[in-house]
Amino acid sequence: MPAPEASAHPEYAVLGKSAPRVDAVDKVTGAARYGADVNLPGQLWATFLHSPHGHARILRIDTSKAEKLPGVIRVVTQDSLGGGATQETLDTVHGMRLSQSLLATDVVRYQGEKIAMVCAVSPEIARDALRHIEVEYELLPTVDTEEQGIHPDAPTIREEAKTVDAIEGSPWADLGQWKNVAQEAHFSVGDVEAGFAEADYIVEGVYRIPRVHQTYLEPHACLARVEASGNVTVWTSTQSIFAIRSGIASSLGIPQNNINVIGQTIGGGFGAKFGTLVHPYAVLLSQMTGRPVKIVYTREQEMVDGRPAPGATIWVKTGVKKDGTVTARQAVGLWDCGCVPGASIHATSRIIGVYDFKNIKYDAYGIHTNKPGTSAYRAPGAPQGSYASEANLNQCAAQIGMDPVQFRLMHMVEDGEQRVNDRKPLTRVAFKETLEAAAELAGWANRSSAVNEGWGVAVGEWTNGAGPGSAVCSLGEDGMLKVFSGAMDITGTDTGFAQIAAEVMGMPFDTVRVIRGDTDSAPFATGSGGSVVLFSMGNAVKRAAESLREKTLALASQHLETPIADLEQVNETNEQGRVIARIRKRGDPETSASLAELGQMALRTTGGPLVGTGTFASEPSHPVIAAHIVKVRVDPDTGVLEPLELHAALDVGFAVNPYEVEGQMEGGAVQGLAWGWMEEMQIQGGRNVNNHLSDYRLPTSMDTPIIRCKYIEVPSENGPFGVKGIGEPVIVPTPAAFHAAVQDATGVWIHDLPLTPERVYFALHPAGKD
Amino acid sequence: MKAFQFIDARDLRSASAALGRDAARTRLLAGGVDLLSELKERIIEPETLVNLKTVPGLNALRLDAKGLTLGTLVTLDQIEFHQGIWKSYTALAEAAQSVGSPQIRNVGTLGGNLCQRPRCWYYRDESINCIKKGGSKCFAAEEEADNKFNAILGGGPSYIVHPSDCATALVALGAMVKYQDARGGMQTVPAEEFFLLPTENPARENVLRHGEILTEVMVPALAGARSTYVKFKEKDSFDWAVSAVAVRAVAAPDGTVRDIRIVLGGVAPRPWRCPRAEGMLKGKRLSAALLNEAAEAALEGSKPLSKNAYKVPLTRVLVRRAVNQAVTGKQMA
Ligand SMILES: Cc1cc2nc3c(=O)[nH]c(=O)nc-3n(C[C@H](O)[C@H](O)[C@H](O)COP(=O)(O)OP(=O)(O)OC[C@H]3O[C@@H](n4cnc5c(N)ncnc54)[C@H](O)[C@@H]3O)c2cc1C
Repeated sequence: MPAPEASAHPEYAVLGKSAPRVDAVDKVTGAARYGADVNLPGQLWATFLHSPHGHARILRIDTSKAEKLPGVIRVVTQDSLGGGATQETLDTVHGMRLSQSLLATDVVRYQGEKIAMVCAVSPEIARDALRHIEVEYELLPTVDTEEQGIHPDAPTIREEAKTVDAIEGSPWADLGQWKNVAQEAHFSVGDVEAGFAEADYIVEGVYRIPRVHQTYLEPHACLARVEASGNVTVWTSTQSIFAIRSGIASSLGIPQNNINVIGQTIGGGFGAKFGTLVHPYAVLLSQMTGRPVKIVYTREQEMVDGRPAPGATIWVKTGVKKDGTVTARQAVGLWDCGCVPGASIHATSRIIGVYDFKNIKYDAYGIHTNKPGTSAYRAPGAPQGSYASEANLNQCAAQIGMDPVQFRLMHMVEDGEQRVNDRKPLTRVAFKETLEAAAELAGWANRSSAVNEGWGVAVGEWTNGAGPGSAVCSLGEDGMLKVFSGAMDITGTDTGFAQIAAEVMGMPFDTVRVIRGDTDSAPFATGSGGSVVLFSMGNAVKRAAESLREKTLALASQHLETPIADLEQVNETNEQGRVIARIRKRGDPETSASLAELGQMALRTTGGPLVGTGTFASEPSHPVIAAHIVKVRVDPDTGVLEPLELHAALDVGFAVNPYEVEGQMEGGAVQGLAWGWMEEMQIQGGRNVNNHLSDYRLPTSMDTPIIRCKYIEVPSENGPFGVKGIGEPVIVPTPAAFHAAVQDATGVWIHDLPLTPERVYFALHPAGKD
Repeated sequence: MKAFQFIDARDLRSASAALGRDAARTRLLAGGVDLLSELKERIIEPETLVNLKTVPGLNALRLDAKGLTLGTLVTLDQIEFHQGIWKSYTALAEAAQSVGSPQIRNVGTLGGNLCQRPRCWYYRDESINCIKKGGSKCFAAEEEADNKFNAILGGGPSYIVHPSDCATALVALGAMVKYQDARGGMQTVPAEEFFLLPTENPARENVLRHGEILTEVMVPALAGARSTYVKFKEKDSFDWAVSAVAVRAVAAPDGTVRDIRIVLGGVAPRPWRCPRAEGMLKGKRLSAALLNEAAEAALEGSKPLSKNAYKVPLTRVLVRRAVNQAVTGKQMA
């Protein structure tokens, strides 16, 4: 990672600088306490009997033998819960909701579905007891893919699912009707048929992108304690302590106010750790046993019973003229939502992109398969939808012989313009600038490739959400600042909070501490996802610091008998060698008070301690794009692909911390690249075959190419200091950019991701198949 | 993981005695890299682990004019960083270096590498009772199975592939394997015969019966020989072989092949020798056409399963590259 320019933003003392992460030492030394690191005396351990089958009717469950094992405290089935209990999971920032019975009743719909839970004095005994639960199954036929699922002869996965009429002109029109439809979304503007009729070329394809797991390093973990009063305390690794609280409350009917959720340091979530997955179970068992109950998932449990990102099969058809005019675009998206609705099918809208296209129609469906339901993964739905859209645009450019960067620039919208799905004209967007920055970084105009090398480009859009939240800044008697909130730090946002508060207060960065409260102590904070945190909570922190600053200045003014306008703040080095802040009368250094003195003085005044609060509800942001350019080399004899270079550009609004921004850009690019290159949950006959990290291929730092990052800053209107949310756009364009580079290197379009050596080999040697 | 008793063996005899005869109850532990994952995933649930690392003398490494002798406890990392092995037994050094990650090579032993159990995901799935675990069928052989990493040669009734990189290299190098048999006697067999096909015993991958302990591997010196190990992984940083080829060759100054051994890895339940391809090359000088013919011959009889046809052309490419490298000392253009 190249060192960001130190000269950036001379107007700020702390912002725009790569301050070290506030949690770095704890994480590097192992002091950080993650979800599984909490233990209580007398705690029990629980685990689950997961279905070994993808689809089966449960004829009989007999837990009596397991119950008799020494050390087993409780064995629970849905029957013993009295039937209707469900787990309610809500991802507030992406508006995604899942609902599923706590334990299976009559039918299991995926391998991994929880059938029973066992609570025992040790994890080993709990695990042993599973073997002693007898379940008799009647196997049912399974649906592995969304394309199998829509087939009229496909097995029925849920009675309540719909059958819809096939969309004419789509590759699946011949089926007449499509089955197993869990959810649908439709959009149409203009006249696509007329558009297609006008076109010189029709470019269409079916683009497949697989289901992938978020593969956070830390599996789900939680410890729950229910006291005699009924009060619940939960320690867990989560992206939102408040979502866990409401999930437990609504799943188990416990008043929200009786639940306290304590967020531990999180070892990755990427969208999968908003809602509850193991939490209500631990609470329920603690209610039943009167003892604390701990659940820690294994990697295999994560792979079979996590809530991964949906795969999708998307047909895209585009009409294009020789001069580059796009006359119409149509798409049908089939999204693999697993056994419950909730996949981000709306992202089929990505065919609109950041362009001026007029005639648009899409139909999107969530199709049931015998897999767990899905959840968010960094920009939910966007990489899948954008892959289909951007890949198809690259094909259009190739068809008319136009440079794919120029082709995009020709259509990209600017401030004041409005896309077919925008309610208002765009403001403060920088699509063209971002793409141009990537092209410049990569040397696109003069790019060269040796034999078997190729280049590809794509862009991916995201608009950060906004979420309500509140923060408190307080100045201590030691002149140090504390920032307090209930926000979970998944990306380095605590460091950003410290920088914002330090800047506003005019204090040195290292005199600020960021403290996380639990749901009992902290005011509500938005979940950490949807790229909302620095935008939303950053505003809350900024406002809290501003309020604190006002109060501090008011006190200083009173004490120094000087109007606020005549006060100034300076940093000085004290006897201990620390840089501390001091407020003084301009032109009269003797009339001064250090922040510590003011902090102490506040305790003796009628105003009391110096505290500022800041709140934020929701304000709009602006769409940004990440633009990626990938260079790849292919070995045509084996099909092996080697990504050589990845150039990434992004509009970040304002980079509070350049290192953190580049970290996000690199991390997102690696995840996007992996999705196009090697990652895939392989499910055959309803069974997950690659549920170990040795078989589920993820690139390591040894596999990834050189990544070069360049961000541009077009400040947002409502983000603190112009911040735009950047955690998510960075994964969106990579699969499509990689796909295009492979075509450039091989001359063949291969639309089924990931582009494994085998797929590439057979695309290059079609005869070699037999 | 189920609780177990742990015994530090003092010598080979006590190790063997502690292992007894019942494979379900005891297991031998070397570096533990493979054994621990089998325990963790409850593929095996022994009551007792017998630690071989406390037996003195099993980690000797000797290189002299006669050849190379490696105790079973020599680690992969010792092999990888041994200049002499790189020089004279390149294929073995390359194979050892290609195993897993540096952490795995630091603790993984040569004996453990040779005796590791298959990676087939049906075998590694606790809930599947496949033929290797005493069940009646090989799930990988089913039409709808995901069998892209399974055997294309020598399969049936089990279709695993032997996962060891060192095994393939050692067979090519003509190594001998020494072990203590069940009666306490020492046996020596060619590495080629050490590994078994499933037709001989579907539950085992080598001749060792429970309680028998591999002690040493000897690689004979061969004047003028050059060897190489070419491994293909789906993921470059660390992975088992999708397919691999080890070749040891002796070439005359004019390039004529005097002697050659070609062994395939990752494609069959044991390292797979290619006698017909070897015969075609002996006494000849390499040409593109000859390499192609030899590669064809090496894959003779291959029968892909439903999803591993890719291995056939892939392995042909690797054969050409490895043969060329071993014979000429140069990488193929
Ligand atoms: C992530 C990962 C990646 C890996 N990648 C590769 C790879 O690329 N290539 C590869 O070849 N291997 C790979 N391995 C497999 C293997 O674990 C290592 O190669 C290692 O060499 C095993 O050695 P060990 O000493 O740890 O064996 P252990 O785990 O101690 O033993 C393995 C097996 O051999 C038996 N055994 C050990 N020593 C003897 C002996 N002297 N006599 C009889 N039986 C014995 C044990 O009982 C056990 O069943 C990988 C493993 C992991 C976990």
